[in-house]
Amino acid sequence: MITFLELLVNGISIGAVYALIALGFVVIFKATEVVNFAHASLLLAGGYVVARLHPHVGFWLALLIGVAAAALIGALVEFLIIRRSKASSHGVLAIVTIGVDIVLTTELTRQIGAEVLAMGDPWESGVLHIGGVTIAETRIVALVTATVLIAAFLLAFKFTGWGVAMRATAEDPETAALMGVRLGRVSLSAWAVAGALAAVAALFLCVFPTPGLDRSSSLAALKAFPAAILGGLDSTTGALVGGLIVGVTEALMTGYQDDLSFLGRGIGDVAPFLVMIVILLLRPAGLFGTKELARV
Amino acid sequence: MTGLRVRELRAGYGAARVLHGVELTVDEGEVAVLLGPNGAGKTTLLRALSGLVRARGTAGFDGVALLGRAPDEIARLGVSHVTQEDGTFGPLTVEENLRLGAMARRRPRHGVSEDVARVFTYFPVLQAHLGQPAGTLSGGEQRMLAIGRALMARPRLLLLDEPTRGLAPQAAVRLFRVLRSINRHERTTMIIVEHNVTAVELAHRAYRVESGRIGDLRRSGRW
Repeated sequence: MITFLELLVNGISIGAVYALIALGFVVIFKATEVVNFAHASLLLAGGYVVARLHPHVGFWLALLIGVAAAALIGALVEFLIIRRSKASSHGVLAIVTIGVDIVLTTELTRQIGAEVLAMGDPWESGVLHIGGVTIAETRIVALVTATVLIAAFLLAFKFTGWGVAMRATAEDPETAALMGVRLGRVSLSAWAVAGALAAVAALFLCVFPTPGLDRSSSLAALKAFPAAILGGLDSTTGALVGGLIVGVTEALMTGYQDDLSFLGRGIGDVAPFLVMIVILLLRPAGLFGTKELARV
Repeated sequence: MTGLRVRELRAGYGAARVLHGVELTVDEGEVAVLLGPNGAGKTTLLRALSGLVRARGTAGFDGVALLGRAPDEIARLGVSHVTQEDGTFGPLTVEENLRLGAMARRRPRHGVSEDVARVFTYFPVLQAHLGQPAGTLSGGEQRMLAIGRALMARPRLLLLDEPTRGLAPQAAVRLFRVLRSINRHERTTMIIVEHNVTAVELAHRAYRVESGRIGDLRRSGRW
């Protein structure tokens, strides 16, 4: 039972981090209808900046700069590539983002080399004992941070002029423009917000119990794809629920791997994708997605 | 002279030319009605004026050139366009839709509640649905919301594409009355595309659009 609770809490915590990534993914999709395959490289870039800077400027400033850098890179991708692309099809733009991802990831991987970079976080390998349950401090901080950020985002999405403009653009960009909404700014801010959220996620994907940031860290971010897709690509609620489903599934499958040995090793990594496939078979638009968007 | 001056306006979609040199004059505070068969280019003319369709020629509103600008920029110049599809945002509440209408203003957050109250004087039925998603309104109510939302921008030029489409005859007459009242009280210049010829009754000018060209039907006196 204790093992189950530990796995569950870890799963929820990592799921909240996936939700942060998936949320950025969904925000870009809602604002621009582009499936951003460069999301993992934004995350890697943010994490890389934090890892490289913290020995010089301290952890908190490094984190701030890392978040700002990922937001800036996101904004630059939008401003220099997506906005200027003459491609009328969103499918083509999605493929363009694969190109961006390859360029960014290749360069970052080259910079990282064979190193494992520590994030320099203040929680290090501390653990908390609650009842009989042992949980890494980083997992608690990740859960709290992700919850606060997600709540702040949803409140802004619901109540601010920016949020209303963003939702209107997602619904009907042409009419939103007729209302005076600057579509360029909406799109730019979506990419920047997604980049910033990805950088925060990068931190929590690379802290204890993970040894640190290495060339494969962006692979962890890939698990946010099934989170966004199974939740429904155009639904913020879907991103949250999807993140939690993926996180908990992964944690439980990895934790009980020995009992599930008939499924082979590494089932924890595969399970999120299996869940996604099953959900998409039952609900092609995802759990909370809008039906007509299924064709995109 | 303030108002709208359109000269030699040409526009189309790809290789298909729809407007072949349209001339249109609407003075400040006037209502112009555009009549004509389907496919004549009435909607394209409105879309060219609000920046949704690229056009050549000139279109000056209060001395400012409209053509070549993006739709959001034209909206901020005081031109509001209610399209044929209404374009109300279904998942957003009526209130959020109205707030969005104010985005084109220089100070989008200033005086919003006063303007919402002003919209209710023209369309009282919206008041009861303020917190409701716009998608749950009836077709007629959505039309009112679309026009009310356009008013939130405090437009100086209001472009209305078939505002009475799909409405029962009595509802259409009521809407025309409201539009007349808006024109009188707000001094909003309007261009109304209509199939319903009763619209001419509220017009200072009536034009007939046919095969991408325009003819002045009459220049009526003010009512």
